Amino acid sequence: MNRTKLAVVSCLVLVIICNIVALLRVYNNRSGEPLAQLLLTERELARPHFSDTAENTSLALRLDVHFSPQDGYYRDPPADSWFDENKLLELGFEVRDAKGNYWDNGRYWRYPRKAAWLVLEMDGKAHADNVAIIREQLAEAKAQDDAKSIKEIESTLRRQLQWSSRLYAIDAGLEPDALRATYPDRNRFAIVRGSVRMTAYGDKFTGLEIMGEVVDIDIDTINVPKHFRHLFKDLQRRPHQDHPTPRYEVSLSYGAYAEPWITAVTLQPDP
Amino acid sequence: MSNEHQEAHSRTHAPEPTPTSPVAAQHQADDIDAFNRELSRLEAQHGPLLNNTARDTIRQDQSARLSDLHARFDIDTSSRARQLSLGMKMASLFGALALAASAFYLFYRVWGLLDPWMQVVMLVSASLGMVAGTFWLHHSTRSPYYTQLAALVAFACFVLNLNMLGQVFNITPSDSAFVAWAALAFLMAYTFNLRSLQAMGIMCVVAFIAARCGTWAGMHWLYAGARPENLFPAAAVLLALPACIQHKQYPSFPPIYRIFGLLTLFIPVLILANWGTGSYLLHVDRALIEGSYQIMGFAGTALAVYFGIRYRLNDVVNTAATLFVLFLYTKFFDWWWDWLPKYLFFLIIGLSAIVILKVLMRLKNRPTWRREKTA
Repeated sequence: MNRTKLAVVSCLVLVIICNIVALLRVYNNRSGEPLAQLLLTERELARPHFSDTAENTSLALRLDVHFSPQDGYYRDPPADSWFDENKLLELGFEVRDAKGNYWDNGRYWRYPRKAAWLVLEMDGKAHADNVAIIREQLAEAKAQDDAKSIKEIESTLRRQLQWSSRLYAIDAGLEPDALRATYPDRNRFAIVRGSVRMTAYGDKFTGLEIMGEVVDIDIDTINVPKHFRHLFKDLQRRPHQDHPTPRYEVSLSYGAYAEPWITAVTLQPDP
Repeated sequence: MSNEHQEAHSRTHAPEPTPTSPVAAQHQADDIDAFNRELSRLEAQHGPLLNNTARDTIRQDQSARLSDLHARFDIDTSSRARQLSLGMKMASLFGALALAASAFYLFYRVWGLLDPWMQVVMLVSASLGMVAGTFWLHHSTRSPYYTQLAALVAFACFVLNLNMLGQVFNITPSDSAFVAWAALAFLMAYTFNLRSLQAMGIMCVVAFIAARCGTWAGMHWLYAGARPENLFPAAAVLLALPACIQHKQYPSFPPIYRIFGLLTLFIPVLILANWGTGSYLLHVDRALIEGSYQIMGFAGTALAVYFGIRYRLNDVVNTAATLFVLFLYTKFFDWWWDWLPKYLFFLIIGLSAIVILKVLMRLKNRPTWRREKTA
């Protein structure tokens, strides 16, 4: 075989092998029992704002995850946050070094993001705690008769109860099997890949608190298979306040490689 | 004379009797052109130097050889053809970019209307079809311009192939894709002698090595750029490659490796010279990091210019000189932009450019180097 023929065969074989490897991965991920199966709604899986264009006929839903309990409104991080110094040390961050270097104009952020496995909890304790804290704040505002705060907090509470995502990142680790052993309920907890970083709160007067922060998850945009797409056809994009409840439910499965796929979509009747 | 021709000319060697590559063929055509021009100049000065028989023999031989070389390698046989060549290369490159963008947008336009298996078939077919089409085009037309265009589109289709598979099936992004893309790019680059594909392959290799270094250092690979030092191993590989592996049949490839090697080395140095916070050296004072990288930048680029002149590597000289000027002007900006009147600032920039020109001219005209050039 001459050199050119060998080259063309090599190129074609390379393309074929790469595609086979990718498709085999998909097959292995989706075969067998899913490692997690979450029932999400439009609150957790919404359409991105600019997804519908003439140039792109696909449909993808964006996973909305609360990476910290105070997502969505300003609040100091809770004193008992799960992503404390011990968790940072467990993930391999150099906490002592960060503390020693804080005063050099925010050097703590020199530490780049690390890959980690994250535990996502659906409509569990994290969401309930968040709602409870907002109700406490509302009660305080009412006790102080602070009309402006009452209005803001009521709006926040309504959003949390009706429209905000109930999916929270509640733990992180380096070993997915260990996390699965700690959170065995496959219908409430999903173990996914993401990135985390070290951050700091405070100043040189009040003292420095080093904490961790979930930055993002690797796969937060989920492709909607063609056979479900017709269900979204007539769903116009509307502001949250125009519709009191989510309009659809989605069954999202996570496979052996922690890669998700949509297994069912159900439209919810109008209230 | 272009860089690859200077590369070939700069070493003392016997001309190939029968060229086996487009570069060697172009070299022979340039020799014929140079011979004819020098003969015309001498005859204009001293009168006819050849009798009619010799002149006819030379002309017939040259005509036959040029026709043969043009038929086999599509080379430029005149200065007008050479001027057009550059335009054709640019047209080929822009055409490839436009066609690649077209393929990209076509797929985005139709993929929502297709079942997953049809999406897979479409993606794989596009890659396989374009790769096969590139080889067919090269075989049937022998034109490097059409081949370059088709090869770049084939590469773009393969990138789209793996990318879109990832989106359709929600596959976790992986740096291993860079290896696959680099493999195809280099296979086509070395088969068709295409520097554009070589450049694509180099960029993929650099991305992969940087991502892996970041992963081994405990970072998420997607954010490996937060530590510019992750690019240093890739730079070392690129600079060592042309020195360790002979490229006799690809004389235009080593300069590309060296240029990318220098850029991959010194652009991170420039970044760290101004942003020490991004360094791996966590326990070192930031000002010390920045100062050290500034010194490394100036000294490194100056050393590269010296070695480029010493070993007659024009690509190294030009790239290193440009980087040196970049370091210098960045420093000028740091020192003077805020407090010096702007007209004075740009006057200093202009004067420093003249000084650099003078220095480079002096180095170029050094007697030692001129003797080596004419050897």
